[in-house]
Amino acid sequence: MFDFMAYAFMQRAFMAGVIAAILCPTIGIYLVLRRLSMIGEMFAHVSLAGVALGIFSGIYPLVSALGLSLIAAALLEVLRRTSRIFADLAIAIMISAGISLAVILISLSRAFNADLFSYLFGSVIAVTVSDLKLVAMVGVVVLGLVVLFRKELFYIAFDEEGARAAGIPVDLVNFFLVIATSLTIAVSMRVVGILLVSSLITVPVAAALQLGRSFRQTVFLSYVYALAAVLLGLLFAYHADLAPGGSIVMVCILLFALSIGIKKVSVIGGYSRVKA
Amino acid sequence: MHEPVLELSGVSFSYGDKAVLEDINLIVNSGDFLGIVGPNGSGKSTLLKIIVGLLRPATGTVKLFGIKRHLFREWTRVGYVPQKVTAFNHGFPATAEEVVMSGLTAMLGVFKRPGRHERQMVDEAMENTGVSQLRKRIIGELSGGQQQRVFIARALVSRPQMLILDEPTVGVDVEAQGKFYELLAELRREQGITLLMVSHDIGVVTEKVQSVACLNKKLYFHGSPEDFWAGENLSQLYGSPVRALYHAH
Repeated sequence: MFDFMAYAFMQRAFMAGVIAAILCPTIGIYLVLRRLSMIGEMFAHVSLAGVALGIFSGIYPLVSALGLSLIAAALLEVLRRTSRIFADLAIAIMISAGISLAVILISLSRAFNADLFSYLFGSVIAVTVSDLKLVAMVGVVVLGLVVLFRKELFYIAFDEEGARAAGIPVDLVNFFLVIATSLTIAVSMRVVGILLVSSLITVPVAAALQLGRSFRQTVFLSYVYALAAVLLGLLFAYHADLAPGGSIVMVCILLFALSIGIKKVSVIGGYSRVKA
Repeated sequence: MHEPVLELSGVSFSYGDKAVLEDINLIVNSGDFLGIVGPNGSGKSTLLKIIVGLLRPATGTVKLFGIKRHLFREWTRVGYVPQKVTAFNHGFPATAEEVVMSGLTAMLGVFKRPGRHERQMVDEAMENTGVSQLRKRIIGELSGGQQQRVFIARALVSRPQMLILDEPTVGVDVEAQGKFYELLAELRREQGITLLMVSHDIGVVTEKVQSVACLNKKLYFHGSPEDFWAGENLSQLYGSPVRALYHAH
């Protein structure tokens, strides 16, 4: 059953997948709790524009996606500070900008081909050695920064005003979270695909929230769910010859449904114990 | 003992062209227990936000422990309990202990992680506020009074010299309110903490505090509760003759 691990491309897909499975919930827990889940979607669309730019201009697509995502992160901050529009509207505008730029560039480069599809839906065979190197490098940076700012991120997610009053540099930490999100999306899309990468940010966290009995436990559970989804999803994609994005996120959804079911059962169990 | 902890001089603030605070002058000395009372929309919360640095005053200066507010960096000396009991995300997956621990964030800074000493400080703050047995419970599942105590523990954990509370009794039942005022009295007696509290519940507050300040855009009165009830302060504050109704709590 594990014969596929003999293939170098599958080893690379698994390694890139594991990195994505660790990074996405690491960022996702803070985005979900602050009701900023759509930021993931925004960077996914911007990354698509970045990939299209890469295909169009001949730049390495992962690099152009990273670059454009960082520019988008800065633009979002400028938009938020200079014009008094709501955060969700600013995100909606950035999504529109990203997807329209992507459509123009894809049309110009006549790039509706297998290469583009592998970026859209994820791929088990497309992760190259240089992809993996870049993914690992960016992954270490993002993870290191989140660990460094963990206390601050927790405080701000729970009570932004209190954090400000306590003298925590809230704006700086917020901006850093946006940057970290842009990087996470850009490096996670290779395996999961642009269309589904933001699901890996939100759904494992949503599932973990059903059962976690502390913040620490919720974070831990979200890692377990994301890793299980990526590993099972890749396995399934390999054997059934599917694009892995769909199978990975479908496993996430099933785990979410399972968590809700367990929660319901334990609540009913709790009531019957009280009555008895 | 009686050096000023907080000094406001000529502070004013407006949202757009609507003036909220005008020429506020106020001194709070170390060990004082000041209750700021006033009707809804009188600028009470705005004043607290200016004091803790969430808002910038249009004019005037704010000094904390003798240092101008924009230069003040020792925020761990000031504990702030926001009007949170009703406002926070009740689905947040944090235990009471994790919430209290977060009160040490600013003190630790970015590079330090909480260790044994910090866990002791958390235990102590939770013991002082009587929430030790709720340590592992999810914050959203606690009662209003219990949540309030957890938030006070979070503010106390960095051992501040002044505690600022915004409408602390909103969403808290009467029995828990009684315990809450006992807790404040104890903190003042045993740790000498300066207390600054904002409330719309004039009757209760004036029974508990050492001095009262009445706010409605301007500061109408600052003195002892006895002098407050002796004067015409209520009608000035609310703009029409008001009769005080004493009710026992």
